[in-house]
Amino acid sequence: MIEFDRVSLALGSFRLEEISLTIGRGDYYFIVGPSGAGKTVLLETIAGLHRPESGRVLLRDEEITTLPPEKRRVALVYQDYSLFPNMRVIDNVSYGLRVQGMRKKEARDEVVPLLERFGIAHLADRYPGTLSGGEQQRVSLARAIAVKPDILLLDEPLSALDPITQERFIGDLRRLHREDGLTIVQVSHSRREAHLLATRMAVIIDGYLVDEGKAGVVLNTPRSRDVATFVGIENILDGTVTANEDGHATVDAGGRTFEAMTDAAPGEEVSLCIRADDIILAVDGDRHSSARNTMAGTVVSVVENGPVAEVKVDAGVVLTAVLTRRSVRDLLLVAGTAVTLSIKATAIHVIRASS
Amino acid sequence: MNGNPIVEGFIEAIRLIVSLDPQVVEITIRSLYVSLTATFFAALIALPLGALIYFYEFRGKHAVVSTLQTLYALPTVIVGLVMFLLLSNIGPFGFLRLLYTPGGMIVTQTVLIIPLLMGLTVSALSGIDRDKRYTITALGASRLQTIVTIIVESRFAVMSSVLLGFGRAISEVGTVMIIGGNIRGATRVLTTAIALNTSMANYSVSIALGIILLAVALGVNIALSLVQRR
Repeated sequence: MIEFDRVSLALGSFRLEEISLTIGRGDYYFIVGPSGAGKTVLLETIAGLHRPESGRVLLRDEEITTLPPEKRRVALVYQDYSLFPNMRVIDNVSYGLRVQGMRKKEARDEVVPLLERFGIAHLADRYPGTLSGGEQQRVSLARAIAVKPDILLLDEPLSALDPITQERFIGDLRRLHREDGLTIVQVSHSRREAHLLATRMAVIIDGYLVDEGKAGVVLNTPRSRDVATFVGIENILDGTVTANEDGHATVDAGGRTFEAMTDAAPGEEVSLCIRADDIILAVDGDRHSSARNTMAGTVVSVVENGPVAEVKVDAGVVLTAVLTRRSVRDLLLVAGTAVTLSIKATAIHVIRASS
Repeated sequence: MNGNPIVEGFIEAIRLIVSLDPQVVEITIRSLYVSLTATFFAALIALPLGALIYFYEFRGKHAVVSTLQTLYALPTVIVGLVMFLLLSNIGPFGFLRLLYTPGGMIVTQTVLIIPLLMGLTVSALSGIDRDKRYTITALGASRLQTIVTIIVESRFAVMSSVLLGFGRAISEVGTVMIIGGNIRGATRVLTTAIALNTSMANYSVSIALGIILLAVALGVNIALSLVQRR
């Protein structure tokens, strides 16, 4: 639907360098990256608010690189809601229709069903300053949807909301994506939001696109160590391949030997990425398992976080596992407990230093 | 009455105000007329210019805004002197015969508060942040519609700056003294009348006019806080 073909642009001292990506119709596309990486600039470039100095932007195979924002049929929602403080809620929501030439009464009538859908109909005559953050965000979203955009652009829409409101708003966004089939592009620095919402995603670091693809693939099999760190792989171990037999490699990393699936040749430097929930812990010296990596260790710490617990185990190298709190209770895990730790060879994602 | 002249002055001042003393009323009306007219014309010129500075990017924009902010504190006697030279018979605008007329005072006060109104307009419009501007554009507004929306959304802040401009105009004495000449029945306004009557030890009239001037300033402040609260 929208395609960036080697797009570069400069904004002051900041640069976006040769960004190429494709956002398909109906995608829930996440642009993630650390602060200052250029995520918002990229989002605003999709909206037409910055003109690339080189490269092309295509919409449905038509070049729109220089098309002004008002002709792109996109709507933008910022994290601070950007509502008009001196307009009532209903006038805020109908603003986009008014500037497109619709009469005031007609525009107001048009957006009433939208207000009802977002549960803000009772706030229609209120001013934004009198609303809560969650209510303002829903007004802002309704205003964006009112213009029936082809693409909805969201700039960290959840970051200013409290956790309960965030959950409700995630539900709103899911419904918008599923029921309306809307193409949504969301900027975020939250891996959790990406896990919950994204179908595809791009990772931007320092103005460069460093990974792009299906959300599950980027999140679980990142292309580089930087991406692995950013997408929150809990265990990243640098090591060297010591043997490889038909893609079944042995790797020395962090003072231990691991078995993993990779084409990397002996002598090659690699990083092993192990998700915390791919590590299985057992007590009572139970070492019988089909997992290729089994090692004895001692629990260093147990930190409970909601329904799960993060357990750090020293097995020569310190690894982090995530278990349910129930498992932690059943296994009586506390600091000092002796455990056996198992990881399947296929659960280890190998990043080759040369990639 | 042999009491304290200040206390007597206050009592007499109240009497002059309550009895609508013709001289006090005439001076008050002229003050309001000159300063309100000057504020109107200054707003007519300064608001669009301020908006232009805000909306258009050009080389030296920052310097222009800094200069305007510096001119907030421009001494009124300097403006009076420059305008006197321009409007006097030897000046380029002498043919307009505006010196020692309310018209000349209006022109001078207009010149005095234009930088203030321009600078405050730029500040008022800057209250609409970048994200809001981008949101307006992305919602489909043309450049003109974006500008209109930003101005409408900033209207209370802009109104505050106009009220501040009026406050500066009505309370200043330098330009109206030099350009108007403080001529009785012709160019005498609240501030110049207070200066003259005080020098003549005519305290009651001075105090009466001072109370009125304070009441006007208070009125402006109340209006300002009402607007800002909005």
